[in-house]
Amino acid sequence: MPVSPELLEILVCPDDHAPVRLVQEGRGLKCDRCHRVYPIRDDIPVMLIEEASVEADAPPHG
Amino acid sequence: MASSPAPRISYAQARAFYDRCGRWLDLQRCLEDAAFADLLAHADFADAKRVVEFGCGTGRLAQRLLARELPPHAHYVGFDLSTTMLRVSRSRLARFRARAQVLPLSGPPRLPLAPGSCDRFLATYVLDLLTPADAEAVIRQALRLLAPGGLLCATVMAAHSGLPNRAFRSVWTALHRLSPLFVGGTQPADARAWLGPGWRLRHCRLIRRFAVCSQVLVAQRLP
Repeated sequence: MPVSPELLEILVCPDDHAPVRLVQEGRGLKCDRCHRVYPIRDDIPVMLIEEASVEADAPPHG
Repeated sequence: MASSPAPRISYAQARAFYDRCGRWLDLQRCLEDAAFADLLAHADFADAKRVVEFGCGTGRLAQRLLARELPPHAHYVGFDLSTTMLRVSRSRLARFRARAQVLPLSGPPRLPLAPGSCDRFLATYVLDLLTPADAEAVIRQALRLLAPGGLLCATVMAAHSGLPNRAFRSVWTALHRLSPLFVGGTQPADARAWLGPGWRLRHCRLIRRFAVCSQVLVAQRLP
């Protein structure tokens, strides 16, 4: 079962409390402020700073 | 009650302890259920929309809430740092599907939820194994997460002046001084000491069961 919409509504980055959004085809949750991506494993968001990777924004197309 | 100067266990030690022993925690139900009944009687769970639990353990209280106390549309989010506790609680709460989510924690509490996202914040028999500074930090997280008027609902192991409890605490404290791990890191506490500004104490009672005493506390987040 995918992460429930009710949970997605209230999840924030544990470091800076900014909102997170689904990325990587639903396999991660990204904080646009600190660029951390938190993994989703077995449909469970792992909102741990030590488990996150840092993903820079994609460069604009030009 | 003053905080004990005795050492507390680290988060890594707590995780290891509850990974090893956590599956047996439900055996303590005979000591905990009277305190839980008092908590349930004073925290208006029938009106709750979203419950957050810090240290959900085996999910026993969450199961009771979801099955019998909360309205059908209410949601629950639990957190724990022990892999065993996460596995046991997820298995226990699986039948509630999307209404119940259990997420991992690690180290000092950083709950990844938005301000005002819940109206009940539960911490049962977990604040009493934290350092006073970390217990206060959890209470501050509760203040951040609770919507105005929301309720902090806590139980801790407490001290009582009766002879059975004094004898029990003497043994408990001696074991704790030998190694906090002998008693799972828990020490008698008074949760009122951790409430900062922003709270109104709504209910506080000592519940005795055999020689063991629990403090039940319900505090309301002020607007």
